[in-house]
Amino acid sequence: MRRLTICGLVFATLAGAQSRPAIPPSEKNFFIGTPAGWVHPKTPWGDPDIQGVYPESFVGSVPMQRCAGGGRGRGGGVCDPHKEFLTEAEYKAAQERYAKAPNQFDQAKEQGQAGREFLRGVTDPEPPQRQTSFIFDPPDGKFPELTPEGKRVGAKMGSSWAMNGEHLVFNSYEDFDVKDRCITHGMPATMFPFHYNNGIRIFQSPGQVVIFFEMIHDVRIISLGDSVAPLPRAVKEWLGTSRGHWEGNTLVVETANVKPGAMMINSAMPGTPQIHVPTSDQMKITERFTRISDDYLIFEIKTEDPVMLTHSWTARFPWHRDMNYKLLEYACHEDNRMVRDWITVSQAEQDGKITGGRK
Amino acid sequence: MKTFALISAAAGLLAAALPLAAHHAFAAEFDSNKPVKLRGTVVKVEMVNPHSWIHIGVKNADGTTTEWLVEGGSPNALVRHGFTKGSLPKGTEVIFEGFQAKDGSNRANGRDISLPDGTKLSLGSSGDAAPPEKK
Amino acid sequence: MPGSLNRLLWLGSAAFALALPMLAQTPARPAARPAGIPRMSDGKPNLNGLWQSMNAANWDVEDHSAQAGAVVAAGAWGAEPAGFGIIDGSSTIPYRPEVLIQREQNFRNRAKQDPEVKCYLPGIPRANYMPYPFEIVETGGDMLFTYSYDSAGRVIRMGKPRPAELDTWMGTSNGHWEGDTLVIDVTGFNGRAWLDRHGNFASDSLHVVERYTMLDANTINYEATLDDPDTYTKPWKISFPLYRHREKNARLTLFQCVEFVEEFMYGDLTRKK
Repeated sequence: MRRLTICGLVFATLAGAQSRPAIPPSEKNFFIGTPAGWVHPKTPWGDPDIQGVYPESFVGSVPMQRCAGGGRGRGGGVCDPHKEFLTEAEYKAAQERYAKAPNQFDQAKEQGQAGREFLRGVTDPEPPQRQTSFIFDPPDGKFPELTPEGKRVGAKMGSSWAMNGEHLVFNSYEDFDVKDRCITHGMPATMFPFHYNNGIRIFQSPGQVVIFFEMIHDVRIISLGDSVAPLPRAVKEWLGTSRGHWEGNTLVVETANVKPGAMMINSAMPGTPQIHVPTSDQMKITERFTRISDDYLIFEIKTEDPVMLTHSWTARFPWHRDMNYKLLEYACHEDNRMVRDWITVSQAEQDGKITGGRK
Repeated sequence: MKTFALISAAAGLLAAALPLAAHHAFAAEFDSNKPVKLRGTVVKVEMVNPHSWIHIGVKNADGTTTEWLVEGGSPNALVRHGFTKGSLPKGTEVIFEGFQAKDGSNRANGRDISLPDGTKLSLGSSGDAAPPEKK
Repeated sequence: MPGSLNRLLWLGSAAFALALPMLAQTPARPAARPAGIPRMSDGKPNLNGLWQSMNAANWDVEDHSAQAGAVVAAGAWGAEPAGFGIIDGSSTIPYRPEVLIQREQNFRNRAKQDPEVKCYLPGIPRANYMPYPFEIVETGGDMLFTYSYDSAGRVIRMGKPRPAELDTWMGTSNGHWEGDTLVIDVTGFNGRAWLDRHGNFASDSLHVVERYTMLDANTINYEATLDDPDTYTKPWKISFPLYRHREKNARLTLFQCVEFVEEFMYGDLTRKK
């Protein structure tokens, strides 16, 4: 009997991989299961391997806030602010609609209407997702109220992306936002999808994780453990300074020293509050990256900014790994005509030199 | 009348429900009341970010040529969908439809470029003032 | 089964089980490798780190004397130190005679036309000899070179090469190892980057082949061959060492300079409110 037990132990140790049960889909893993026997890949130096290309367009259709569509919920009906996921039936209906929807690029070709679909990443699929918002905390999925200081600073921020009813006036490059000016998408906005070119690629080398962004050829170097001391507080960068450590197979990253000036979130994306949200140098961001299968990673990001926000907020969503996505150079500033052209046109309008036209 | 259809479609969308997100202010540069439909030949294709540009030489009635600059989408997105610099070689005769820049300069937001045989090549314009498509 | 044998079998099995993963990963090493350079577990030289050149090539890749700068008001800040060229076997670039006039025009207009003045992407090979550090991220698969200047970055695709889908500032890089040398083949340039502040340039036909060979743990010998039949009469080669940053807390900072050139580029339009 003991002989069998020892052999069994050896066999179990050697065949440990094969005996790992599948993790079924549930709300916890965004209904993405882990296959039976899946072993988390490791880098040659033994760190959990989360490398790959992850186009964020995968979750491009997810609204930032729950019930942001004027009371209309996803899947129809009155919106329940505590309903975090569509039901199986609602999700199936959404998938069927998506499958039936014509290929918008080909359709545009036939109808001769390019439209804004191109800039929304029509070439990069945005399949329906089951979650009803990015924000899970606070539990009603609403973006936090800004502090008086947050409102004061936010009101002074300009952008080429007009919010409801806005008539935009441009008299200086400073009337644009840092995305328009091809400087950066800032943190945490960089970690969320945008209308196009959502390529994100994770690289790893001993002692660090490096994240490279298609927009705008930006990079985050995450030093692991105590390999590098934090940047002095006097050195701030647009994407901040990050330090990470592993908790099991989860990469936990803490970021501070973010240079203020970018918008915290992209008001151009669905379900975002229609205000400009500034950041302060007190902002702190905590992220967790957990790979759950060959092709999926669960990402969580918590943002605290006691100067600008009345409380913190946490978003969570899956990333899809796609090594076929072509992450191309996005040289933005080099041919950015918008700043000069839009100021010129706006000033001609202000001077009454343009008659007619829609404001 | 496709041009009118484009305008009324745009106008209809403009009158629709509150937008769910900020939109790229098309109206800050282009005039939806100034549609253009011109025929010319491709002089140059600039596959640059943030917007591609197609230079089109348009023959005027008096025999002179005016060069129009037609704005398209990010070449990264276009390339991922098979549109390349070679898709529109220099000298190709094209018909383009779009909206003219507000200040009257020879710049247009390109909605569509088609070849004389009717093949359409969509460009990925800089977007319009319409609210985003409801999902 | 007797207790001691029992224990022996258990220990032996456990040790075997523990050893299995290590046995699987350790590659067979070829004999007689030069010592002294760090290596990845697959035996390839480990180029990970923060690197920077030490020469005056960003001013002028050719031999040059110290001279006044293009912006008088910048005083010595904007003046140019002497430098030995980085060109192998020659002090000048073998331009086709008919394009020299372009180089002269570039030089005269450099204070406005040098892409570096406007914080435009630097291109290859210039990125490697700008006076700012860059980080090589070697993963064992594809690599990332991330430059401090303008947060310029380029992915080096290892494995099956991919053609350039678009003409770009930094080109499309495909890499492979030849022994202990990393060879990177760069194509698909848009012809808009300059080679230095003196107006030296190439066209969009440029083809660069780079070679990175570690001389020791803290030095890489960098070579690049530039081939552009529209601009040069023959291919020519540059070479210089890259030195590792060895400060206690050496790390890359991003010199994202676009915001510092906006006043220069758009200031004429500003109307005060």
